[in-house]
Amino acid sequence: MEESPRPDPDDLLRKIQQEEAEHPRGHLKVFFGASAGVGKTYAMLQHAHQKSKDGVHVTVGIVETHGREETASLLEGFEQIPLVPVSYRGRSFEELNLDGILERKPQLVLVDELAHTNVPGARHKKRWQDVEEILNAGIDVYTTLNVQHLDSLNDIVGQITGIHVRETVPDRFFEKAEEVALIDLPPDELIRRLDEGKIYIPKQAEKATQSFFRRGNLIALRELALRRTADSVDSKMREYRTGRGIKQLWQTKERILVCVGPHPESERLVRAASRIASALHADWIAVYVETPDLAQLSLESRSRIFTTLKIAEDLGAHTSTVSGTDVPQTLIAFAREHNVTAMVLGKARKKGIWNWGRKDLTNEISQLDPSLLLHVIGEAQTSKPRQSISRRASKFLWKPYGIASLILAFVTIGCTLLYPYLDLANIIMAYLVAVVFIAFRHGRNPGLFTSILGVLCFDIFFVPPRFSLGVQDSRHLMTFAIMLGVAVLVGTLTSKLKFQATVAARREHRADILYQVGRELANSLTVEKAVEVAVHHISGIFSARTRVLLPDAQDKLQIPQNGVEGEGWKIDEGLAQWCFENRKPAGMGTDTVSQSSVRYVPLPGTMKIRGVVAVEFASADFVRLPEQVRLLETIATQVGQTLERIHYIEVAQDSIVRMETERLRNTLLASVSHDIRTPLAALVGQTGNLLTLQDSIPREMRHIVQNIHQDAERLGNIVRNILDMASLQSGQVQIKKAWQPIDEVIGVSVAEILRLYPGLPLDVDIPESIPLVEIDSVLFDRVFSNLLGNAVKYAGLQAPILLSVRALPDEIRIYVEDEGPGIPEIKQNAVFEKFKRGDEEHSLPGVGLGLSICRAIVEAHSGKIWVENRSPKGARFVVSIPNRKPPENIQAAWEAHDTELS
Amino acid sequence: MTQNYPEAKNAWRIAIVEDDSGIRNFIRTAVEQEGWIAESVGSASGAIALMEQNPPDLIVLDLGLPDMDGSTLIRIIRKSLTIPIVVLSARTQEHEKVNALDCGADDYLTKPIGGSELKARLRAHLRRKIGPLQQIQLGTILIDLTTRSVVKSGCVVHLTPIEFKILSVLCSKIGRVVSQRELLNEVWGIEHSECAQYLRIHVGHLRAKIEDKPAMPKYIITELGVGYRLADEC
Repeated sequence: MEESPRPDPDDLLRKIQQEEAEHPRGHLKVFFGASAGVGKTYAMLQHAHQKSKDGVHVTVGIVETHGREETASLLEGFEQIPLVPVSYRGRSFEELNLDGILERKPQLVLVDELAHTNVPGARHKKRWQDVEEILNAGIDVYTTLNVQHLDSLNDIVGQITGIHVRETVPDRFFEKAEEVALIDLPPDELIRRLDEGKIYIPKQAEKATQSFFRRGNLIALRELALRRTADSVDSKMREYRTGRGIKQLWQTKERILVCVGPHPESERLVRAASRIASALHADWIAVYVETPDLAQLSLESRSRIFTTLKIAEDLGAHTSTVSGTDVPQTLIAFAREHNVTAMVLGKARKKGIWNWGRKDLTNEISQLDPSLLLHVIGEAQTSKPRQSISRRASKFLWKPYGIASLILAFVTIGCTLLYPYLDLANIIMAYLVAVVFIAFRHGRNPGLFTSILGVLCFDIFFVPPRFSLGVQDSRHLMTFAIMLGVAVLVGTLTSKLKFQATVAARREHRADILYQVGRELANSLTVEKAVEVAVHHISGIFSARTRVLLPDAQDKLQIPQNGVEGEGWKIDEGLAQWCFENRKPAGMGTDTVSQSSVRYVPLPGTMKIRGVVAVEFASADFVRLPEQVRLLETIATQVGQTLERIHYIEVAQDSIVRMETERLRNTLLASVSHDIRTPLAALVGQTGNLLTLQDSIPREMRHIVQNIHQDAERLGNIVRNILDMASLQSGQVQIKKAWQPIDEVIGVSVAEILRLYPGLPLDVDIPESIPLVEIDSVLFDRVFSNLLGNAVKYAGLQAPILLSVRALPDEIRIYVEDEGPGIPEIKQNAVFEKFKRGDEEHSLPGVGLGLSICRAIVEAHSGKIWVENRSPKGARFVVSIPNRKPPENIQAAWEAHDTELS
Repeated sequence: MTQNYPEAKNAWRIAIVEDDSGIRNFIRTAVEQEGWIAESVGSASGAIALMEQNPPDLIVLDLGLPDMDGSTLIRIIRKSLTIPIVVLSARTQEHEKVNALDCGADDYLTKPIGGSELKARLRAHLRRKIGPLQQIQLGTILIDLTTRSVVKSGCVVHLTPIEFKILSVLCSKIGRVVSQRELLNEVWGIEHSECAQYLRIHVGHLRAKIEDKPAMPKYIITELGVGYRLADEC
């Protein structure tokens, strides 16, 4: 998709202001949609109604209702400027009454279907030209447009849908629109509307429409419309963007790929790609395709590749290394996977003799995917092809040449001895064998050497005139040439094969390592074992010192203080933590503190990073090799996954153990509770029965029974408190908070205390206005029961007790007031401690658990509990819980009652 | 409120299923004090045998039996008998109470309990045995289930449909503990059985209308974490 050059926003603004100053131009608002049927006309009419309400004089120039009643009904209330009849080829058509509109001069005119082509005979060929004239007259226009009618998108839409539309609107006109309102409708909805017959389709187009309204088409069109809208000239948006320096406001539509290679020109390519990308507001990706061929490059070339990738990254690219044997194929696959729309490539260097037969990347890619837009960057004059230099610089080995010389010497001596019995053709064959042998064993250069030396020997020793370089028969020159040719051919083929074999072996080696690591990790059942496997393998493969750092419960990496292999090998805690938190490698060879001698690689699990491996390579070269880096990262992933797996096994085991403990504790508590309660129940019950036999027992005995009865009940209460405390302490009490009126739970506690002490002078004061509270009623019953029980215990059965509730803005307070002796100020905090009582030597029974249970429960509700003394005497226990607003529906149910009562 | 009931049978037969002899004796004493006949068994198997031979009028049952869990026993009894089952247990956890009620128990009393309270509850359940009610007098309140009216001290009390529904469910099981779930199912339908918060709010409204002092309710008694009970001994 080629972009028309964008206007500089300032220029544009200036231009607009200028134009406006000269003669005020009407505002254009385009209701823009992906296809017919999304409801543009409808939306336009609705907006017009809004305008009309605001007092704007709105007229209808032309609106196609297509017989739809909803739309037609919206037309009511607008002044309609009658269409003008235009006759063409004996038929009469109705067109927009341009002159009528200009004459009427409304503030706003509605002109449907901007892309319409007028019948010949009208003033303009196209409706948009009519609109232009209306705008120039200072009249605002609302209009509608489909994405396929935009000039620049016309052919794209055609490609997508297979339907080419002839009616188009130039982009520049569209871009002049002050407002573009995208009328969006999801494709499925659109199809539904189509099925319901809500979309008008001209008869002649019915067939085409069927293929047009396919879901895939609609999605693509919708995307186009969305993009185009985002793109549309909106000077405010642009001003904002330039003003704030925001690079990307919306999803970019273009994605550019630049292919990075070992060539020094790559850097220039990357910079060019960056420029193109920023001009197009596009995302861009720099990719390096690692081929077996490229793997044979010198270290220098490889490091250049990575420098280039880093430059790309700095310029804002995403970078990626992919491996494949065929560069164009790999690139195309990558491009498709990443929705790349354009590719930046370097112009192939001049074809040299060594490049003969090599394919041109540009050609190949354009053949593979003609839809990709290719930006080809020419080579700069000054640069030199350094790649070949680096190739020649590879180590020169003498050994193959020595062997070649030896073999040739043997052949020559042998043939000299056998010369009388041999034909020249036989001798040359012997040499040929030697050449093939050497070329096959040692590659092209030793092969060439052998063939040249062989030809010399053959010429000097056997070709007449013997023992001279001269050649009698010119046909022998042909023989020499063939010898050379064979050597080159065999040598080249062999070296290639050998190289590929090496690469394959290397790959296999890597796969093998991964397989082994994977297998050993799979067998690791503990973190220690997994770490050991990781350290062992990483140290082995990279001949590096390795340390796996694992996080503690607070996600802080734990750094072993005394390094085991310690000399000079120090882990940078901060950097390791950075790596852990940012999920990115850090240290040597990365963007973060690259001067560090240690590389930190995160160990990623599926859910989170499971740790960091710190690796100190023996040589910095390791991190420059992409395959090594990848290998390390792959192993790190395996280790991370293993650590995660082990973690979850531990979690599962933990929870099984916890469940088991909990079950045991529950059983224990239940049985203790049962065993104590049962005899107590018998005691309470039987004494109770005794008490009902009013007449048959003497008065003084009744008094004794009464005491036994009450003590038994108190004992029951104490047991309950101890058990409550035990279960609260073990943390197994689940707080089941629910919204409720507080009277209910207070009612229960009050009823219970009155059951125990009938006739107790207890009063309850709860105003009706107390809001709902979110509490666990069972637990709060324990709080109130304990407080009331305490009041009775310390103030006596005759002293009045008042339980009252008050709502403050942020809290709800429950007061329990008695007229007992009160609690000395110094002990007012201590009474809430476990096994503490106001008066340690108090003769009344109790273990001092009640108030600590109260505190535990109240605090679990984010509340507070305290005690204060009343004047002249008595204690006031205050429970304060937060006054929060209940969820709306609950509050509504609660308030419904209020209105009903009033 | 006895005017609604025909003359009670003279001697109800009460089965006591309880393995602890102390408790057994306590219940037996209480039952016999009322002039009823007590039949004690110490195990679930004994209870089942008794039910088959000569079903009693009411069962008082402990959940912790040596040979079977009480809840299971309740289920077994409920398969053939509709007699009131009153659980008397030392287990205080709300979920156990709810579970026993859901299994079919009519009431749940926790140990320790006084003899008079036990007797009052047993009396209530024995009275319930006699047919459904049309009119219920609770203290100063007269509830007429057929005309759907509630009169308190001579004044008509206006209840919302939900409040009346709650009240009528409680009435139909007067004296029994009705679990929250049961109430929710009856009033709102089975799909709303998780909205206990609303239930509390509506019961709060109901109390505000019919109780003299909602914070010290006389009629609608809360069984915390379990449900509600309409008291009939007032």
